[in-house]
Amino acid sequence: MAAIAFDRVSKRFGATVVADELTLEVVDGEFFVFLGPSGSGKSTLLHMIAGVEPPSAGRIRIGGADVTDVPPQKRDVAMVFQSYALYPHLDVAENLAFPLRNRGVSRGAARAEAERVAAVLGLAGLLDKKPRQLSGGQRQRVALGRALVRRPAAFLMDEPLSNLDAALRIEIREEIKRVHQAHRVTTVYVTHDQEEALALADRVAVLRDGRVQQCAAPAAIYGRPADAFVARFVGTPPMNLVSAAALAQNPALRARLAGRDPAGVTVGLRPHALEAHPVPRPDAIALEVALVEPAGADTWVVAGTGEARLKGRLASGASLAPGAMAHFAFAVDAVHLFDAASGRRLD
Amino acid sequence: MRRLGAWIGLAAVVLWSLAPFAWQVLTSLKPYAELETLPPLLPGAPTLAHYHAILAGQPFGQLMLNSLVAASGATLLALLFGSLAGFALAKLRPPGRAATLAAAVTLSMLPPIATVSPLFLLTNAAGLHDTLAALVLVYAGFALPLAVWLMTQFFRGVPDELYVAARVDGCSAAGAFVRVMLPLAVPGLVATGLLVFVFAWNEFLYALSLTASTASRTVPVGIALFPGIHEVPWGEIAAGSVVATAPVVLLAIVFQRRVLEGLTAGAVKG
Repeated sequence: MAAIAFDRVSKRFGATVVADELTLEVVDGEFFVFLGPSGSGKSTLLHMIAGVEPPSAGRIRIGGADVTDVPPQKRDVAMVFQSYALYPHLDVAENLAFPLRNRGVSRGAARAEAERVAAVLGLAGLLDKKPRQLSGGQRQRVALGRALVRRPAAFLMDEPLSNLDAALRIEIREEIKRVHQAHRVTTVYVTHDQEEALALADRVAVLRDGRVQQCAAPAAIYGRPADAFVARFVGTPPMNLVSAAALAQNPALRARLAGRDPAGVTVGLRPHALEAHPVPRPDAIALEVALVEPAGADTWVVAGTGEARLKGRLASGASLAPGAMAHFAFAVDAVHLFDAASGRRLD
Repeated sequence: MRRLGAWIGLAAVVLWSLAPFAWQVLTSLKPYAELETLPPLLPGAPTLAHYHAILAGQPFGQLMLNSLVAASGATLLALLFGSLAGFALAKLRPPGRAATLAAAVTLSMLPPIATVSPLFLLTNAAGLHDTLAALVLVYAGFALPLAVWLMTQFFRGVPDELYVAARVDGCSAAGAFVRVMLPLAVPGLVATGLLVFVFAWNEFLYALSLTASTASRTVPVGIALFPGIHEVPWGEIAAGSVVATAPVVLLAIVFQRRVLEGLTAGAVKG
């Protein structure tokens, strides 16, 4: 177990900036998530920790020791891949034992350890199967087991749930969290799925163009996004971001602006914080309904056009149809304000 | 209808490819009297006389052994260096890999005749004239660009994640090559090996120029030297050709499944 530190690490591939003077520390035992859009090179961050890819500049430390020039096999990290990356020519037991055998553990001891991990992950009956005979969920369990089988300094997980179907994804996600709670091994997890990030992380770093937009606990990322990008990226449905000028006639919002020029402010309102009513309410924003989207527990109402377009939750027991007027009620402290030019949070 | 067309097409291709070989087989079984007459197409009284003749009268066993050593040696060398280079080019991303591959393709198009005299002088200078070592080295060198190119393609087909996983799981680059990459590239090794072996087995020009005696002469050259001063022994040439073709056909049949089968199934999402 160990802390992992990036010290002014830069890396780019052609036009893609993976890291731009990235400096941050993953605390020992922490579950740390890098969250960023697909194709932003997040996997490369893990490859740099693992030592498979050298940084263009900067240093990487594991457990306080500078490992920038240490080859992967001497870094004592374990990795779980989106594509599972099981060795197809080896059976499950051999896959699980592979990292131990490479470190000089005897055949018998490695086999015993593989069996123990297989039992923990519910793979006991599959030890003699080849990867191609397994289902996607079983394959990802084996991949997880291969990482678990030795107690590494850190786990690196590269979108391990992305290839699984929705039900399995939740199941394996719980498995990953359970494993982390049981062993408290430092875990660096990369994903483009904000829900996964919020569900798993002790801390989340939201990445954009190789820079950390915000690094904080999930509650803070969701509750006080540092800028409009984070606000929009985290949470489903995404936060409504509307120019304050389009809503400035609303007295509650005007009071919230506290004298700022509405033209220079973007207002952020989460759909969950907007309650759509069919009848007028004091301080509500009135807009014409464009769409109604039932989503099980909630029904989403999209109203307004162009600049002033909001999505909100239909008030329970109410009903609205396209063409009717929706009256969106909200609490003043649910309003986020961002600078219209820079996107930075204003309070 | 389309099915019928496909069958006719296939039959034509098979006929086209197999006819010369069938002709050799028929000729090799004809008694001397029928050798230069047509009809009969089929031998009236099939005989193994020509086979007896080559195996008894000529040092044919020695020629076969020479061919086997030269082709096997060249194949092993080409696979060894071809797979190492292919692995490096596909997975280690060294600088200049595009240029290296382009050079390999260009080199493999070089006509052999262009290199015969320099190679003759080189092998002589190295004291390797009329040795199997010369043939092994020359064949391996000539086959290497193709082997590098093919193995690079095969290693590219092995997912990058498997290499990364092997490194993280404690293998050095060489360890990952031996324990993970090489077992997964077996179909590629077999396919490449077959191509190199067949090339070396059939090769005539270098074998003719670089050898001088039965100590190192290979089968194609040996057969070409069958004709005497007064006659061309068609029966023996045909029998020799059939015997020389047999190992290659056997190899192709044995390894055919291995070449086609995809070993990487199940490695990644699938």
